[in-house]
Amino acid sequence: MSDEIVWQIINQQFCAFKLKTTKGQNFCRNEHSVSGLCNRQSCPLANSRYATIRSSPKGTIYLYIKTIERAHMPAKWWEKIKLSQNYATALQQIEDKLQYFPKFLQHKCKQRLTRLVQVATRMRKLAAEEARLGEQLVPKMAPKIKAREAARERKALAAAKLERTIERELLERLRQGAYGDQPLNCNATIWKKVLNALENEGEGTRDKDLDKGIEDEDESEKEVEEELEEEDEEEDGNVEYVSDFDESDEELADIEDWLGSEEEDDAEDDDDDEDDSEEDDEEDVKKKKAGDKRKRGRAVKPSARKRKEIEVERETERSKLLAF
Amino acid sequence: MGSSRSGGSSLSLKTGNKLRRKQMYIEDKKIANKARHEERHRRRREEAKNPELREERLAKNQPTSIDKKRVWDEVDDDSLGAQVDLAALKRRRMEQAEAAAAAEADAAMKDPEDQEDGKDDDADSMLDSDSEDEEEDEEEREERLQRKRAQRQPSIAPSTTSTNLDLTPDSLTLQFKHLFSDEPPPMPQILVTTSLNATIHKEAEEIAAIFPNSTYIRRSGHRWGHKYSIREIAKFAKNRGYTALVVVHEDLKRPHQMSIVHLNSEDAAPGPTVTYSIRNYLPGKSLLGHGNATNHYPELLLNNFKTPLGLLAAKSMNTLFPARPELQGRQVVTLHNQRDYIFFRRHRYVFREARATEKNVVTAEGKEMEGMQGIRAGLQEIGPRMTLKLRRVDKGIGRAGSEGEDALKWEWKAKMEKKRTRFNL
Repeated sequence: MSDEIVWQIINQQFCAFKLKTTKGQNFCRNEHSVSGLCNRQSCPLANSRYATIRSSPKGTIYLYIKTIERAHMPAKWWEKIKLSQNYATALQQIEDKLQYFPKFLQHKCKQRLTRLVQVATRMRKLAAEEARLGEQLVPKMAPKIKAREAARERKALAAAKLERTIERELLERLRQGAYGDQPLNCNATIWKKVLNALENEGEGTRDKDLDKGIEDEDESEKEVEEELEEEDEEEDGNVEYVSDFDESDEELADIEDWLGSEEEDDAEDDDDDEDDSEEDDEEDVKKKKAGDKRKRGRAVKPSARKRKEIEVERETERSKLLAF
Repeated sequence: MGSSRSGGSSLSLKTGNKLRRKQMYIEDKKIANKARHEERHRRRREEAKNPELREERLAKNQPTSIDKKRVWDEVDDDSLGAQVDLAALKRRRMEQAEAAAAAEADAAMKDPEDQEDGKDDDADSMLDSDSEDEEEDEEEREERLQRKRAQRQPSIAPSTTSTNLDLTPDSLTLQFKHLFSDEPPPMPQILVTTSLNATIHKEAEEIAAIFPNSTYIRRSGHRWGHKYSIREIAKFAKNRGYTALVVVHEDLKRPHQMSIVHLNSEDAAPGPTVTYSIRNYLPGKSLLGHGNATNHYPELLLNNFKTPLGLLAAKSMNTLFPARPELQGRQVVTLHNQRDYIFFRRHRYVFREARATEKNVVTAEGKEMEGMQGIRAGLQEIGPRMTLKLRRVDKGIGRAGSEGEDALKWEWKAKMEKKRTRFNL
């Protein structure tokens, strides 16, 4: 009797859960509604004997039953029964529990169970697929951070001076001899220029170049040249009287002969006069000499240098003599 | 009665009378400008006579930049998260070792001395010879140390820009055994692919063209086809002998991220995954006067990778390119790190004579490069250009394929950028 009154009020006057549509179908927003439509049969407020199926956030499905006996205790209206995870047994459970309930409610509960089970299965499948793929959506960067990074990148680019740095690095590599003694990326005139310039530099002994980059085995050419020069000095000890600064062909030939025989003696000579800092270089130089092809052109350089030095020495001697 | 100009700018700004204020302001400016003009000309005359003064002045007035003000962690740590300059750390440790050795030598020296002192005490207690001996020894020791130090200092410093991979700390080598192994690395074979449902095939092809020996395979995103996950693709690639898997992620039709998964040899599990974000991707075509790449193996330039994390990134990039570049190709790939932004560039270069209007190349410290007068390197840019920023390093294949407590080796967090002088790489 009271159900009728409730229904009249809900239907005709006001129901907080009712959702009207333009198509004439009304929906019920109540979370305990079994069908979701606003009907006399499916209204959970207007039926004191009612049953629904709801799922918990974790995925377990419960059967909620409301009976007249508890109509005066709204806090205890709904009896919550956990259904089995097995679909068939869950259906059987519904049948058992709602044995004496109207067929409508039984049917609707079973339908709702089916739908919820299907949804849960699909969700689990999608989650598994996501986990298998392992591809997570990268969250968008906050606009403030994006703007900050853009500005910093622009300034970093200005500070980097890329083309200059690249050019400098390439020339450094060329100078340090990372490209070997006959570089494939350099034409002959430029390479000669580089060699000349390296020669004319001071004889300061260089430490082994720590910067290896990609070329691990290549050596500084200059070190080899210096050693050559020192060997020549050692071999020839005393001053050789030379008339001209320019190299003449005869002497060229002589030097090459010397160098040809010296290559074996080099190793021994090196040990005599080398500083401690050059010990490392010797081993590498020895390794290099094994596979090295001496360019004729290069053989000329050390002798020219040696002669220059000797000339200077002679001049100083003369000046000393002249100075009284 | 002359107007009071003594207040300088303050008075010229405070006067209420606009006309008078205007005049005062103009007069103040004249005075300041004249003073400045005279100062500059005086300096110019002095420096014309003595060019050293100019060099001194320039050396003293170095403009400050963020890179010069860079702040490092004060720890002695060389693990992945530490922001330490590895070169400086190495030097500090060497000096400490030296000091320790000297201290030990001291201790060793003092023991025999003490014995001697004991004997001589009775005889020479008045003469104080012991202290003199000790001083002399100390002096000798200092001299020895000084000599050692002088020997170690290089007369011509090697380039400070390029990364020295020898500085790899042991902790890093242990963590990433296969990446930092001593054996020569195999010829890289790279498989490039994209994220699911990607549409950036052209960009991905270009990125594949950057690495020699690479192939680009499309990723299926078809509704009913089996979508292979990155872990599966990595497994297949490893079976087929690839050394690295590069995944280019897309966002709004643009390359957004690049993940490099190192597939190690059969005995080692797939190694670190290094993820960068890509910004400002420009294909070669959009660059004015661009060149075309050949299929020669390029040289690699890795600039300014200073911290352990930076070294890891540099090494990982190293393994993607063949170890022996084909120099006749005259191509260079540059990965330049500046303030944590890695600029990727590809150039064709040629060593040529300097034109009359060109200056000589200058080293990083600012001095002219000796031995390279009149030689320049001409550059023509090829191919794509982009900015990478390191975001995370995972132990295994991406976030999902890494297990264990240290699955995530390093992750970029916005709070790292609070101070603008602190950088990670």
